[in-house]
Amino acid sequence: MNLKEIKELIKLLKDTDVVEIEVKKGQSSVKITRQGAVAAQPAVPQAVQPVAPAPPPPEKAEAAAEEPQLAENIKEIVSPMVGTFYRAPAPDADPFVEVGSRVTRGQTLCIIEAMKIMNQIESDVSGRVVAILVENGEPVEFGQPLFHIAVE
Amino acid sequence: MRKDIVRAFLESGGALLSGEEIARRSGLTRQALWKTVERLKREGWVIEGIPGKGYRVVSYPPEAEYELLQDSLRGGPHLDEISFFPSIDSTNSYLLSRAEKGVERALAVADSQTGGRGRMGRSWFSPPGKNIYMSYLTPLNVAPSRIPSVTLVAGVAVATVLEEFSGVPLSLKWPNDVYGEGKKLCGILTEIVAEQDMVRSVVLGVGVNVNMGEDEFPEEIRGKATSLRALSGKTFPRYKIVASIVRVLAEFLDIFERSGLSPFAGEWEKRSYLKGKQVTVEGPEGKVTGRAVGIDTERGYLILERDGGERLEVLSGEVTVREGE
Repeated sequence: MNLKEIKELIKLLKDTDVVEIEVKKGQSSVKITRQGAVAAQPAVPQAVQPVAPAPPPPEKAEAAAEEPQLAENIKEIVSPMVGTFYRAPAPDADPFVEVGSRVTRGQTLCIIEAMKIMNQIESDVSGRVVAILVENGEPVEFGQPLFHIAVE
Repeated sequence: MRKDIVRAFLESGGALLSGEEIARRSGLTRQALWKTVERLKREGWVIEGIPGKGYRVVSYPPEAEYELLQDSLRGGPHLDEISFFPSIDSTNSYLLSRAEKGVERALAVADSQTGGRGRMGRSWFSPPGKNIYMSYLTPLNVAPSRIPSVTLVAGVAVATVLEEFSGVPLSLKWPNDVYGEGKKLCGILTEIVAEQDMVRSVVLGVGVNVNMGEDEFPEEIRGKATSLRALSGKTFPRYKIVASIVRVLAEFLDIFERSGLSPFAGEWEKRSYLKGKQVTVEGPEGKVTGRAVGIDTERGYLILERDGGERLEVLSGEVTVREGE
């Protein structure tokens, strides 16, 4: 590995959050560590802005201005349709997710029922559920926030 | 061919078939026919041979009907998988799990279900050998907000097919049941897998009471449930009905993707079981009563008129016809 390649690696590292990189090429290998970097950061910073436990759905549009800004890594899952919100596949079954559950992209979060159609709503991100904003069995509007997920 | 014989037997409805007639239809010699009949008996068929007259089918194993399903589906929509189960917990659950594995279009048929589901996990009576329990998985290119009315489109599709077979006019109870003579004949359970702005797959589960006699229904649903046999006095090879339902469903869903519910609204209203009746709806927001006056022709909501003339749109809830109606 020549100097030019190593320089390039260092440059590459500067522009990212990557703390340490090790590159092996044939017999040679190089390990570059960024100075001042904190090692082993948890994937989800614990300083996530506290999210109020299940605030009631905002009264139509008027409360919009009062809504707290979401932290950057929080994905808000909203209802794609009007219907009734269910947290479990059947009345006696366990909920799909709880606050604190880890979810992967494509995992079912809840069911929205409308006209007896069971719509399984999937997460479009992987992460951790930090808030469930609607009670089981409550009616939901189109676009109403349902979950907050800390993206990982 | 064996298939021709199986078909002839299944369509005979228990009537006597002459050996000559079957030999002619299947292109087999009487000797080859006799051999096939013996083989069928070993597989569990009960067939009476009446010397000099022919054969009469007394009963057959349930999976026999589905031997012909694949043939009947030819010319219908493309299917990645066709599965038949003598018994399964729920054909809907099965196809939802296949969808998770990446399967796009599939048909699952069961002779009986051990965990047949209605809405929110309510059970659906599913004995073997008599009825249809089928689910159809397909991608559907519509926004999630437009999805609810797909149940109404499926209702029109299924009712059309069942009317054709039975020769009896049927009605549709909002949102997802097919009724005959005021009793439930068929239920449709639709399940969707959706992301925020896109539907990934839809599973349409259809349960039809086909060859059940009136006295075979459990007591608690007798008088409330019916079958094609109870309505028409005839029995039916189930595979033919399954194949027709799949074909018509696929056709209608195609139109629904392009044009929504409105092309079907007229056909639906024509069969509306609730129209003009006083009903009670128990929904998540409580109980409301009123007269059912129609459906929203775009979104499929049930429209109720209350005593004061006020109109209400119903999206969710259990609808019952009020006593004395």
